[in-house]
Amino acid sequence: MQTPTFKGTHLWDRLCWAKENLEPHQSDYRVVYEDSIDECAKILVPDPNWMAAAMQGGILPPVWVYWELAKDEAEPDFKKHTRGYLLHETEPMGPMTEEAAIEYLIMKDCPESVWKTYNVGNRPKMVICTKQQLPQTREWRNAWKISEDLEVAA
Amino acid sequence: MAGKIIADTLETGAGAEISTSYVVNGSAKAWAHYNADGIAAISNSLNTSSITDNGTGDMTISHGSSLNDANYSATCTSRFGLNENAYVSAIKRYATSSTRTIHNNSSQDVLYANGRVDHTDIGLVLHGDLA
Repeated sequence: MQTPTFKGTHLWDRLCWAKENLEPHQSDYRVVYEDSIDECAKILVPDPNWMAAAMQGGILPPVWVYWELAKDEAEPDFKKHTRGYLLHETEPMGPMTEEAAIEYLIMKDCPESVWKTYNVGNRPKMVICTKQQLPQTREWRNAWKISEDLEVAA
Repeated sequence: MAGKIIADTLETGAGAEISTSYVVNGSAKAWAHYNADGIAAISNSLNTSSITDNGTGDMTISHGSSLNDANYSATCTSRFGLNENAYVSAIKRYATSSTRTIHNNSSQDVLYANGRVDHTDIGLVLHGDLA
């Protein structure tokens, strides 16, 4: 299906179009990361409707738009967004592969302090793997750490 | 887009009128149905980009189209397995790009991390203004 030419269309409307017209894509990829030594590893799970929109193209804005809004929200006197137009008026991204969509999602939804330096130091603090590689039980869930044996899947 | 309707009011056949702003302002801007038990997964959603499993009974839901401010309304419901005991879900953090939810095994433990459990069939609905 061809994506309509969204010019200045609100991102929410574009996501509604994606939900109505695209088949959700349940990705097997998971992102495991550690952003605090006092907490267990976290697992990011991609949304199937969002993945479909990313792979379709013409719907999502470039990821830097989210960084700009995050900068605004981090200001101590932040009350509400004044640059929401960046989400709606910036030229949407073209179609992404599943792997490229996961990388985009990491840069959107994981802390910058994790993905920017994930492989700096004496061990990685972020790994892209498949859900089959994750433990199936929760008995030791809050002791999870990234295993040095966990192979990178993407 | 295939078509466009521009209208300030909606009117029924009986003549009852309502402003379209009621519809725009009253519609849920994001929702998600997801499981935290086992390997976390999203079964259906609107305007959600991902969920993050932060640990037992602790999830973050990220939004595709951000909310305008952190003063939106979030409603979270869930269950724990198939039994009928009381379990509680609550909002831990409101941000324009994400909402963090926590899930406990009874209302007495809602503020304490040691009462957290992974719920199933979690439903999160957000009402508010979009950025």
